[in-house]
Amino acid sequence: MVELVYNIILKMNFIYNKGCDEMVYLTLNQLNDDSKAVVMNINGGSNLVKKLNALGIREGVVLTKESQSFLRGPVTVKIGQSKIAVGYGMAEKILVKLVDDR
Amino acid sequence: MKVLLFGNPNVGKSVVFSRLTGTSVTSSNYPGTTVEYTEGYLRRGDEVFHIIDVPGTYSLEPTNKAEEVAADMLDKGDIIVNVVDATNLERNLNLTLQLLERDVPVIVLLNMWDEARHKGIDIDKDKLEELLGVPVIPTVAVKGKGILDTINIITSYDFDNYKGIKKMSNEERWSYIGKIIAEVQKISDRKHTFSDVFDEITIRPLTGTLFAVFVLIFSFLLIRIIGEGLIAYVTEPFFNNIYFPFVNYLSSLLGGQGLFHDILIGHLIGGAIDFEQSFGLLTTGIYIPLSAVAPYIIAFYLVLGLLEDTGYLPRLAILMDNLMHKVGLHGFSIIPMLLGFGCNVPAVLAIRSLESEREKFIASTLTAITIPCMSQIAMIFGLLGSFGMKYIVYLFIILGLVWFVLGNILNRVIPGFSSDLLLEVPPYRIPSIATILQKLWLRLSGFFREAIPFVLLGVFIVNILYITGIMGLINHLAGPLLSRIFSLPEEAITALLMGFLRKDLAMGLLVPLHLSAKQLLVASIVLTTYFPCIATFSVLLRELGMKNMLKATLVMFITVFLVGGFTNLVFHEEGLSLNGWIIIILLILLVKKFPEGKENRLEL
Repeated sequence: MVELVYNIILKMNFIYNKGCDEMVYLTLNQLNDDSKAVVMNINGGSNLVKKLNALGIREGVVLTKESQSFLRGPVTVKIGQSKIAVGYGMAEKILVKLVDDR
Repeated sequence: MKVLLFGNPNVGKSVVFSRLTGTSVTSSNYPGTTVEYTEGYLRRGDEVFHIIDVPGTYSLEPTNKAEEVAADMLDKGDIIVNVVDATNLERNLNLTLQLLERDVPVIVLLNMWDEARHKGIDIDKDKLEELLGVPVIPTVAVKGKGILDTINIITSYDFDNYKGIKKMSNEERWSYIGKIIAEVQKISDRKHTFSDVFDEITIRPLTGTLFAVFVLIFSFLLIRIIGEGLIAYVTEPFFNNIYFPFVNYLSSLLGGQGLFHDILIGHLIGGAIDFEQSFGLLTTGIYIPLSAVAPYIIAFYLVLGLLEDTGYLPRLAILMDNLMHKVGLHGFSIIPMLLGFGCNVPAVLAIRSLESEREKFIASTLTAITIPCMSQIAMIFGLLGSFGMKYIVYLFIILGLVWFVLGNILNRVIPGFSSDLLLEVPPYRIPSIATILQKLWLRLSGFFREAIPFVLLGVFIVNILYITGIMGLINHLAGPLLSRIFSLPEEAITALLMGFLRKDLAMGLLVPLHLSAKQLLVASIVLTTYFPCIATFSVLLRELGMKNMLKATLVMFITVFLVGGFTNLVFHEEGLSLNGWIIIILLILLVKKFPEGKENRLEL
C-alpha cells in the first residue's frame, strides 16, 4: 500500500520534469528525477568547491537526484544517508555523468 | 577544564549540552539553530567542567559566520566532544577526522543511535573506536541515554597518551572515510516507510506547494483558535472574576481618583475599571501582556515548535527558494522571517547565519518593516478582528505586497552578491511533547521578561506625559500631519511614540480612540511598518552597524508614509478600490521593468 502511494506520487511529479539522459555529461539540473549519477567536475571557485565538499558533494561521489522544483528552483539530491538541497545556480555548476544501474 | 561540543549542524549538540549541564537551550530540527556559542557548567565532585556548545560546522575550513566562530573556538578547548549523527556517519566523519588532525583530545558520541538502528544502519562501535583511536559512545541525547557514560569518560580521560592522526588533504580524507565506512557500517535494505512517502509529498514541487499552502493556512487558523480559546476560557475569566475584585478594592481604597490612583489603576471608564482603557500600571499594564498577548504567544510558539521539530521548515525553504530569490535572498531566509512573526529580535539574530552583507541587510530590513510580531498581531486580532476577519486578511495582503515590492526594489538597487541555497534536509522526526513544551516555556518566559517591564514602563511614561501636559503639546504639534496623511485623530501620535517601546502597548493606546475599521487598518499598517520597537532596534543596530541601520531607517520612513497614505486613499469600507488595485498592479509591473543586474547570485 505504502509502496503504491509512493509510486503514484513519483509519477504525479514526473510530469513537471523534462530532463535529457542522452548526453554523457549533464549539469545536475539537467538530470532526470530519480536517476543516479556520479559527480565529474565542479565548475566553480574554491569557495564553492569547499562548501559542497563539506556537505559531501565532491568529484567522484555517487548521488541520486530526488527532485527539482520548477522555475529555477533548488535540486534535491541524496548522497549516502543524507539529503541535500542545492540552489539552481550551484546545481548548474555541478557536472555529472549518468550511472546506468539497470 | 574546558569541554567543547563540536559537530555538524543539526546532530543534537544542543540537546547533549542541556543534558550535560542541566540548562535549557533551544533546539530545532533544522541546521543552524545555534549561531553563537552557549556556555554552561558540569559539576562532578570537586571538579567543575566548563562546557561550550559550539555552533554546528561541516568542516574546519569556515564558509560562513557560524563556522568561523566554531573554528576559532577550537584551540581554546582542553577536550572535544564530537557529536556525530549515527544515521549519517560518512558525512559526519569528515569533521571528526579534521578534529583528530588537531592536537586537542577527542571523544566521539554516536548520537541518534536508536534512529540509526531503526533505519537499518548497523555500526560496529568497537571497530570504529579502534580505527579512530579515541573513545566512541553510542547516545540518544533526547532520551538521556549514554550521557552518564560520556561524563565518566570525560572525567577519566587519559590525556597523556592521546595521539591524533596525521594531517590529510581533502581527497585523502574522503578515501580514508570510505575505508572506515566499509569496515564499520552495514546498511540493510528496507522498504519505503510512511515517513518516506510523506517526505516525497512535501518536497516535490507539485504536491509540496499544495501541502505548504495547507500547512500555512492550517497553522494560521490553529494559532487563532488556540489564542482565542485561551483568552475566552482562561485569561478573560481570570481577569474578570479573580483579578477584577482585587484592583477594584484597591481602587476604592485609593479613593477612586488622584495621582497615585491614576498611575496605578488609571481612569475609571463609566465609573468602573476597564482593563483595556483605564491605562493604569495594575490594570492595562498587566492586562495587555498577560491577558491579550500571552495566549497568542503560547499559540504561536506551540505551532512553531511543531513545525521546527518535525523538520518541515527546511522543506518549506526549498519550496520558497524561487520566491525568495525575487527579493535577493534564498530559501533558507524564510526561517528567520517566520521566527519574526513571533518576535523580530530572534529573527534578526537568526539572519546572522546568512552569508553576505547584502542578504543580511535585505532580510533585516524586510523583517523589521513588513513582519508584525505576535504581540502586535494579538492586539490586531483583538481590535481589528472585532470588525471582521476580512480586515485582517486585507492587512496581511497589504503587508505581503509591501514585502514583495520593497524586496524587489532592494534586490535591484543594493549592490553585492546573494548566495544560493545549500541546505541539508533533515529526516522527518516525530517531535517529543516534552521538548516542545520545554522550548515553549523557554520562549514564553523570555516574552514575560521582555514584555512586562517594557509595557509597564510605557504605561508609566504615558501617564506622566499626560499628567504633565506634554502629551497634549505633542498631539497639537504633530497631530495635523497624522490626520492629513493617515486620517487618524491627533491622539494617535501617543500610540506611534509608544510603538518605540512595545508595539502591543501602542495598539492598546488606540482602544480608547474608538477608530473606524479603516482607521484601525491604517493604524495597524503604520505601526507595523514604521520604526521597530526598542528591543529590535538595538539588535538591528548591533547586527547591521550604524550606517546600514540609518539606511534601513530611511527606507522605513519612506515606506510608512507611502503605504499608510496609500491605504488611507484607496481603502473603502468594503475593501481596496478599483483604483487601488490598478495602482498595485502597475507598481508590480513597474518593479519588474526596473533595471536588473545588481544581483550576482554567487561569489565564485
